[in-house]
Amino acid sequence: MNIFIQEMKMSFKTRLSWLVGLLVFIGLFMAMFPAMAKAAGTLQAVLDKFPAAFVTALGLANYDLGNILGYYGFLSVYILLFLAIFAMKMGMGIISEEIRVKASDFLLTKPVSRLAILSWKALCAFANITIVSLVFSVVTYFICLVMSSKGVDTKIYVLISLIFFLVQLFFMTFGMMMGSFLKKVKTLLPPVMGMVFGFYAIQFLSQSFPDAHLAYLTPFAYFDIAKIISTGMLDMQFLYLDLGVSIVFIALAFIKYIKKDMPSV
Amino acid sequence: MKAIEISNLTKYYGKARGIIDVSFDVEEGEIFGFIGPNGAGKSTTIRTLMSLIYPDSGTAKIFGKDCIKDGVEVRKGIGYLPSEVFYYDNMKVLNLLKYSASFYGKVDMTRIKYLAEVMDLDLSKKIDDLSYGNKKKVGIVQGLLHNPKLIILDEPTGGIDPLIQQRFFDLILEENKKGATVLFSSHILSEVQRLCTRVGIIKDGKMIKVENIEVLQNTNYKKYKITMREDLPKDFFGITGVSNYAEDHKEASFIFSGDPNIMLEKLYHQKVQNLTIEEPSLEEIFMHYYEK
Repeated sequence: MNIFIQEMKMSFKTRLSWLVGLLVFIGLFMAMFPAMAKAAGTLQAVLDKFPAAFVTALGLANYDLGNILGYYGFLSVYILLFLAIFAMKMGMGIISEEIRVKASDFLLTKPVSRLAILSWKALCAFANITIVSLVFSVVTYFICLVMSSKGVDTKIYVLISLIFFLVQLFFMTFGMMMGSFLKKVKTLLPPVMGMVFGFYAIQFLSQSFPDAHLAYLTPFAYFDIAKIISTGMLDMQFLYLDLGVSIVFIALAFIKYIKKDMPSV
Repeated sequence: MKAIEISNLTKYYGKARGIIDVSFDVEEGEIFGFIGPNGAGKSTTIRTLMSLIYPDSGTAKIFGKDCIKDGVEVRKGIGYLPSEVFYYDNMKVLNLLKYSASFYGKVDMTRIKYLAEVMDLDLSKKIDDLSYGNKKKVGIVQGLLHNPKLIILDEPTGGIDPLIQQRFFDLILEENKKGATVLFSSHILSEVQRLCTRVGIIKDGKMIKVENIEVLQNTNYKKYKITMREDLPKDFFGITGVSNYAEDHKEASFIFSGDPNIMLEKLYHQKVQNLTIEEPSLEEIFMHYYEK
């Protein structure tokens, strides 16, 4: 428990600053919704003139920008990127913390097993993405309520929030795996952003060429938010895939972490 | 019971040599010196005891329990000071020490305060703002605050001034009197001589010898550097106990083991321009020691 409390304390600033950043972002864009809703018809007309492939690749197709959730869905690409970077940084950071700050000789020589250390750390990372997702979703829900004159479909909103969380889970566990396998992790943000944008690029391609197989490679393609808005349903196959892959990642992270030689300084 | 039993411990880092077939025992209640030049394998051995790294073969036991298999149980009784001390920079010293103590049950504030006072350590500072020597003090306090049965010190004196070093040695002797066993790794022979009852000498990853400290102490090695006003008489320093001899006209340097008075008497009637007598490096001693 002491490890968990300590890790939560140490991640306080990261948690807070990402949350504030996200809320500022969503606040600014949500403030533009009324104007956007008014101009939705014109905007659609403009978009219709673009080549269809281009619009699809940008992820703009299938969103009704005149509806609050449609607009939210359109923003979701950017929110997902934000959240994915945060989650992966969290996972990779928490597992490589001692190696980065050279404190292995402190924490790992205490009378506690590596299994326990990593369990508490994983729990802390999990708590962090949960807190950030939850606070973000709740605050944004109220922003949506205020901005929309027609109300918000709560069921769909909850499903979108769940997707945000599931994608974060993928990146958190992926980050933990990378953090345990990479020999020397010196900085976090550059490799994390590189890898998240890599996954995003695959998603970009998968949208341009509707090759179903590409979608398996990137969590960004697991959940089609536009489809969820129109059908109100999750694609269960991808939900299981996301959870399964996350379990594999975290299992590999644990195995490697428990077995590895800690580098000396 | 033996405090530490190491048998045939071998560790390679990929192809790079760590330690090869290292075996030695440390008796309960003794202060065991572990000496060898940098890169000889001292830290590798110690880091295996702490299960920070896993050996390729061989076993290490502490108070009869396997260091890897029963690692958690074993580490309850160990206080460890790493050779390079690094902590979470943003923490205050006191919070770090409390965090450290929380792994061993109840936090004993009187003990923390007592140790901090002896080591002259400011508990209210941030780790980040501490000098190297002060970080080392944090390491010492965090290694001793849970009254460990076995204290493992890896090059503990680097960066701390002589006064604090003395207090630190007194602290270690005090813990030893209370019953703690100490494994003291160093590349400085004189500090090992001051504290230890036995020493193990490691070189190039192999244990060369385990020796009673008296044997090393009776042989009093000193390094002499002498500059004369005139050229040296021929074969002037050709007496027993002199080794590693090098001469250049008026200058001579060598290692002398024996009664210093013999050397001083010899020099008394000579015109000496400059004279230094210093502690030889471990390498120099080894060369002397194994020439015979």
